[in-house]
Amino acid sequence: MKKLFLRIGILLVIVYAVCQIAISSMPFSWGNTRLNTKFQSYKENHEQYNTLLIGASTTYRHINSTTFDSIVNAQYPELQIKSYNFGIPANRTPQSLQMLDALLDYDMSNIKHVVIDMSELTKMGADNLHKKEMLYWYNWGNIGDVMKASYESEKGVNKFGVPMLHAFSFGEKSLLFGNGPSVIMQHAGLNIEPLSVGPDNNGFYSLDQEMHDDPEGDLAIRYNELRTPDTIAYRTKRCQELVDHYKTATKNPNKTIEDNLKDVIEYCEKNSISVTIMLSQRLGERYEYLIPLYNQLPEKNRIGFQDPSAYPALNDRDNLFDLAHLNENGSKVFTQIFAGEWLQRLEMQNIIQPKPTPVVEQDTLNLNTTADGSGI
Amino acid sequence: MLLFASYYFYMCWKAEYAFLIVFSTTVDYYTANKMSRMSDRKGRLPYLMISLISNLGLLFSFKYFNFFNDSARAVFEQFDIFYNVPEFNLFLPVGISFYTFQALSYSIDVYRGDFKAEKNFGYFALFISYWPQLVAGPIERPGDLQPQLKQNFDFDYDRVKQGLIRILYGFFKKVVIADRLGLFVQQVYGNTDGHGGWVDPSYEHGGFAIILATWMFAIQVYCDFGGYCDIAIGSAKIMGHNLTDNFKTPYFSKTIREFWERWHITLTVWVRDYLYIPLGGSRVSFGRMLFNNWFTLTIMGLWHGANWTYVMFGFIHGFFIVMSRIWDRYFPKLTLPQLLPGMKAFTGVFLAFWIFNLTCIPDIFFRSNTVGDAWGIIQNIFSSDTTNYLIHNSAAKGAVPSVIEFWVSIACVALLLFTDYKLYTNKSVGIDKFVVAKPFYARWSFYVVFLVIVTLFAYTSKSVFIYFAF
Repeated sequence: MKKLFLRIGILLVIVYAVCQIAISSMPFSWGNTRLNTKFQSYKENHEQYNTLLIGASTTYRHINSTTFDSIVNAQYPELQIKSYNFGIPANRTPQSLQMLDALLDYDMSNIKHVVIDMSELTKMGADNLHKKEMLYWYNWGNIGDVMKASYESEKGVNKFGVPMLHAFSFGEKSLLFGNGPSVIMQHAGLNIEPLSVGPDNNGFYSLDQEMHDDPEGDLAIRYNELRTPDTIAYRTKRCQELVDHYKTATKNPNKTIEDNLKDVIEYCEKNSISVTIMLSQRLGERYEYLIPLYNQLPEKNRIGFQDPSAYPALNDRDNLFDLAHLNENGSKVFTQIFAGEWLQRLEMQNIIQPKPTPVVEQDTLNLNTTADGSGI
Repeated sequence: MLLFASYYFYMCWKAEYAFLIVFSTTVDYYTANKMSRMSDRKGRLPYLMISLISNLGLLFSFKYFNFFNDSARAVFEQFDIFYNVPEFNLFLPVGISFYTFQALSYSIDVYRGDFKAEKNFGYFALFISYWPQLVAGPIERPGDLQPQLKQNFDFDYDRVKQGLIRILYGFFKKVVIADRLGLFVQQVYGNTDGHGGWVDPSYEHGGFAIILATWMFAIQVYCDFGGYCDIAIGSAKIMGHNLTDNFKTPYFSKTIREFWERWHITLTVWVRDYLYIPLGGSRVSFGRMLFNNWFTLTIMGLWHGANWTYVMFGFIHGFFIVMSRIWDRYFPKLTLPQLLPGMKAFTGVFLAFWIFNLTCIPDIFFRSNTVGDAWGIIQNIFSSDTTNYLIHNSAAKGAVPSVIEFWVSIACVALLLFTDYKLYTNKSVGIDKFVVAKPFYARWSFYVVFLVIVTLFAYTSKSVFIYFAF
């Protein structure tokens, strides 16, 4: 029996070594086609970019990098902002932090500003197992925190189940389980989805544009079926209830991610990089964790869009693509609001000096002009 | 403990259907013990009939009732006769064809006096429900398996090693090859509308794409069922039990009869012993023998499922067997090896390829949802070719591109053929025996290569074993 287990052990070590060699030949983004496409496109001109926008679909679909750069540079030309949108659908906050680590490791010499959009913390379902998209972000450095954070933020059986799923997924990554074709795909240069970096090649790709480019895809269904006045009204009401309930919550059950975010702020500030952490309006019950976490962050480093009553334009049906995302028009509205808020945070961080800005009514925004009226 | 594990294994699928196994086990235990107390066959016959009616009744009720009911309705409708027998809405119990046939072989062997009835109900229940082969065979004979179940378990390093080798090779066949090939097969066979047309005409396939998909299906079904059998045999071996080999490199067969000696062996032998020979086998007139062959193969086709496609599968195989017997009788010297005696290698490869392609014809019916679909697919072989589209567009959006999956499949099938050829030239021994007989470096190369391939190239989308449905 001992002999058998010893030999099986040796065999597994050999297989593990082979898989690790294969993994080490991959860029950090290899499992996720959209991220890989963005990373390859960013690499080509990375010295141009000084601002990284990292997060989930609420970053990807909502912050129009071109518009953002124009608005900010019109007001503060000395910043010379050139942003790249690294928003990836369904990104979790720990994934965003891992992406930031990898991007700063790649080359941080030009990076001056970072925006991180807080999204789901650690949510993980069994359906996500075996998916190449789930594999790219785990490593020995973050798996412990991911398991700990999911233990902190889950309830009941999930308190143990979700950390175990993450551990299992990490094990799959370590052994590249079922991902041989994905490795070949990466090395063959086929792990690319050119349209996903958007028409301006800066990572922003509106949902309207994607539906236009792929009229037979799922987006058309989402657009037609989910965007009804009733569902939008219910969604807004539910978001408002949750925000009102957790607005002043300070007891944050997810200490691990709070510490991770504060470490990132500290590390970046030491390297003269401004960090802004954003909380978008979100569906679901995760406000229970996200708002208390948000409340723990320094005011100068956070922007919150979670309150529907504070930003009615973001709940206007004309600006929505589906229940969770803005359309092209909505993204322009959002980018304009975001740019204004972000500049205020830079002022609070003493990176820029305050300038008088005209008051703009959100629901009467002229979308063809910037906040200072100079035009986009 | 094994009995408990076996029932737990089955009940994980649908707990209440375990009662069918309990029913079959109880009836056969009772009837066999009754038969064993009687000295003459005449006295045993009523008990055999109880066993046959019970087991075949179960099979008929759960598997074939709706098929015969629908067929009868179609016939009556042709003559404008009112027919209104309602359908049964029952799930098909997994593995029912396998365990009822195993139970039947026990009753018939006891009836014939070939096997003594088991007195211990627990051991007999374990024989019927033994988990490695419960849901998809191999169909074991009582004389082979029952005595082994009574042996004490002792850990044996070499036996466990052989079992693990067998399981590893089974996983290679199932999760690397069968499931991956299914991706392409589904593109062609999953798009038919039941009447020979296409659900989505814009994805209609034709030309060589149909042939390629059918070749792929032939290999898929071999790797799916053969892979399951390897896993079952390997699992049983670890527990100290030897199950019967169900496949012996069938695609290297040089005649259609040799193919059936290598393909689903336990079913072939079952049908031979309990149907073909009682019908007179080959000790009857030539014409009657041809009928016996054709009939038993058609029944074997029907065993696979309650659908005319399976009947056609068996019928066509029966036709091939009949033709080969006629050829052997009237043109015994007109065979390729005799016509080209100096070209043994060429004739070997040619005949193996020829027989493989012959077996692909009934496979078209086997894989199609209806006979109409099968005819539609056959007709489309002569339409414009869509191979390029099949290779490049079989994977779902966002998945690994199907062209990569295609070439991975081709590489793995090449490795399978190489390994199976080595087994074929070694008297078709099992992969376990073949590997352990090799020197250290070759054994470890096998372990590392196949384990790395299974780990990296397992096709991880959800899929079930094809033969679970039978």
